[in-house]
Amino acid sequence: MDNLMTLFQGQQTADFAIKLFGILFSSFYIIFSVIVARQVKTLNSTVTLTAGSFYTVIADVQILLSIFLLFFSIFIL
Amino acid sequence: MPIIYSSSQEDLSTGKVDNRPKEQAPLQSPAAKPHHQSKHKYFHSFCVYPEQVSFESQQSDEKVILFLRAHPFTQLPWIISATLGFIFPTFANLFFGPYLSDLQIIFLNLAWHSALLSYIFINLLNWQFNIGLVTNKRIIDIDYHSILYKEINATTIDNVEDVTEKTVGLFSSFFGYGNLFIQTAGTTVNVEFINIPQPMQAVRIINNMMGKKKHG
Repeated sequence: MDNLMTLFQGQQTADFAIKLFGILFSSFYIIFSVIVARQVKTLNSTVTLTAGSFYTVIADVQILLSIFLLFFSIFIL
Repeated sequence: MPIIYSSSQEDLSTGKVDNRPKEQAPLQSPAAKPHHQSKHKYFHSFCVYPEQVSFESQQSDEKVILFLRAHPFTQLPWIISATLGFIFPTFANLFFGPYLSDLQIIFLNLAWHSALLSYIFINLLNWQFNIGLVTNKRIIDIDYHSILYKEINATTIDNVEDVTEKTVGLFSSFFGYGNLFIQTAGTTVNVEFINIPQPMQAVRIINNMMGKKKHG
C-alpha cells in the first residue's frame, strides 16, 4: 500500500497522468480517424471532385499518425 | 531577331503547326458541337460547367451546369481558430516546459497538432462536400455536417416552383454571397444553398433552365 501511495506522488503522478492521457487520447484518435477515413470514402463515391484523392491521402495520414501516437504513448512515453 | 509573336497555330498534342490563313481554317458552328466554357470562381465555390465533377446517381445524359459551395469568406472563423491553434503550443511550451520531460513535451505537441489537423480536416470536408449541383435535369443539395451526418436532397427542374435569393448582412453584401431557396411543388423537400457566391447569377441560371423546360 505504501508503494502504491508513493507511486502517485509528485512527479510520478504527473508522469502517470500524462501516459494515461496519451493512451486514451491515441485510442480515441484511432477510432475517430478510421471513421473519418470511411466517411471520406463514402463522400468520394457520392461526389467525384478534383481533390477527392487528396482527402483520401489526408485521411490515411491521420490513421498512421494516430497509430504512431498510440505506439509513442505506450512504449516511448 | 527572335520571334516574339507567331500567328501560326501549333497543336500542343501533336506538335503540328497550322499555317493556314484564318479564313481557311475549319470553322465549327456551336450547334454542330456544343461546347461550354468552364468557369471557376472563388476557389471553386462557383463553377459553371465544371469539367471534373460527377455524382453517384448521375444519368448518362445528365450534365452538371452549376456547382456551388459556400463562399470562402464564410470559412474564415475556423481558419482563424486553426491559426491561433498553431501558435498556442509555443506559449504552452514556455509555460509548462520546465515541469515536463522532453519526451512528454514532444508527445503533447504531437497530440495537439494531430488534433488540430483533424479540426482543419473536418472543417475542410464540411466546406468541400456541402455542395449544390444544378444539372440539366435536376437540382441536388448535398449536406454534410460533422462526420456522421449526410443528407442528399434532389428535385427535378419541372418541380421547381420558385427560386428566392436572400442576401442579409454587411459581409454578405460586401463579398457578394447569400442564400438560395428553391421551393418545390407538392411534398418534395425544398432545396437550400447557404452562403453561396453570386446567388443572383445562380437564380438567373436556374430561371433560364426553368424557362427552357417550359418552352420545350
